Amino acid sequence: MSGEELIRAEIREAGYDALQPAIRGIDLSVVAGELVAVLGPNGGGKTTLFRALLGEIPHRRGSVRVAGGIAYVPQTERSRLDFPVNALDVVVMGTYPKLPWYRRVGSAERELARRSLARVGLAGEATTPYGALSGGQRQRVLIARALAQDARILLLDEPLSGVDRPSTERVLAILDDLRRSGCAVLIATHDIQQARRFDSVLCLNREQIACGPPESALTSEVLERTYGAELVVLDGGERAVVVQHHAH
Amino acid sequence: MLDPFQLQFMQRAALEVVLLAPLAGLLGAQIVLRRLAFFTHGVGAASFPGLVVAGPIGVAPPLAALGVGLGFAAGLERIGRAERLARDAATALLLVAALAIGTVLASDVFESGAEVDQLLFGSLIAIGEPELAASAVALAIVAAAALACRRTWIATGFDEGSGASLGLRTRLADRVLVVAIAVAVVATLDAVGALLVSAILVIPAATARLLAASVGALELLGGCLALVEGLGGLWLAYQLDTPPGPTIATLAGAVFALVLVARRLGPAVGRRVGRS
Repeated sequence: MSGEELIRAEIREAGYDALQPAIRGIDLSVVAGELVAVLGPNGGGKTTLFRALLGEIPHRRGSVRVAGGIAYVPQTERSRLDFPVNALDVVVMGTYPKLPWYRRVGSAERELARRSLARVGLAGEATTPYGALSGGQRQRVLIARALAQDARILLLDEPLSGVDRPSTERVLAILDDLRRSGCAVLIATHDIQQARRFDSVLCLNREQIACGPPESALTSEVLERTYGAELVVLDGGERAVVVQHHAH
Repeated sequence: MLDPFQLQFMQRAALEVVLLAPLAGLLGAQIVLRRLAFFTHGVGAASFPGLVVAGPIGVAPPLAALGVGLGFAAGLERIGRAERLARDAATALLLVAALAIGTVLASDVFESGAEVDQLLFGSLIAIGEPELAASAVALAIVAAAALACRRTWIATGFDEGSGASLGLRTRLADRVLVVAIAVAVVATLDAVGALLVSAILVIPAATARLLAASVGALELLGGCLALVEGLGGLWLAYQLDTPPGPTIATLAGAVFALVLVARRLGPAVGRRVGRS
């Protein structure tokens, strides 16, 4: 890690309703080349934290400083599979921020998009309709769109949820590539085992429970506070899994 | 076969169709992709009371229709947000209210019953130069809006939550889209009336949606279909002595049904166009 601080966030509280903040007590510092898992249950405030870092939350008390561009990779379920776009069209959208409104998308933008697709191993799928790609490929296309934004900070919202094992390995390899290129990456996840693979873990359940290297942050006490009744500890504390409870 | 188009009123009607077709291509694509077809129909129906009162109170009909159409859009957003009412339910509510108020005003207050048919179903063969000029202005406004906002409309339509992080002004672009739809609706009123706006702004794009594999192809094909269906419907109406608006709407519906059936029966026809 190069040590250059790309994110410094001290968020006392943030949310869509000033009277009911969704998250509070965030104290986060992320440096270039750092992969941070944002771990927490569904509804624990992971997406809200990302929105706060992006400056899209209407009510935020505290301070957020980001150095370099910041790009957001949403969950693939939020994108339209029936939309008439192919993989390259989607990645080209990442070039929009730097393209004046009066200029058409040109060969330079398409070339950048092709390079971004190649970085995620999908150079051969440029003309494949987005809706015809597998879940893992769609996730990589959205990562490529963030790469085309030329951002140094990437926020990935549950990129590994519902993705098969080979695609998971591909995505993790892409994250390693991003780390080497000096990007800071925050990955929202509720998978404790995955979180252990990252440089740091921020445990979040409407408030920051812990933040630090996995070995110090992922203690059973922290995990119990993060997941409460959803947590099941296995193998005498060696492993912990989350049981999702769904209200019907 | 083209003899009817030697007549001046048919030439004006054809020119109106030529001006409306690009609107149908540019905006129809967004209307279909953003699932705004019912909203567009609602804006058209909402313009009815505006058209009824425009003459008696001395306001230009397009301005009255635009005012009511924008009021409809603003009211829809407010009701949907404040009362947590589903958007389609709010649209239906306001649409029924607009038609009912328009009918009462036309029949009992201003006693303009004889023109109600024209307001509801249009009169393409009665198009004059002022209407053509209004359509040209509407086309210029919509083209400018599309030039400035088309990228944002596409990105937001594909993935609503990411527009802002892509540096796009999504709220502003959404509002521009609503205003552009209202302007396009007003432009089509003279041709097909308050109730058949969808015949030009929705059905050709919905048909093109069955075939197009890219947004650009959807826009182009939607515009071409609107042009062909408009001119074809106009010719048919002349030959069959039927009202042009409903004839165009019927033809557009028939083409949609044909394409739908052809796509299911023949894989070659169903193969999507728009990609090389």
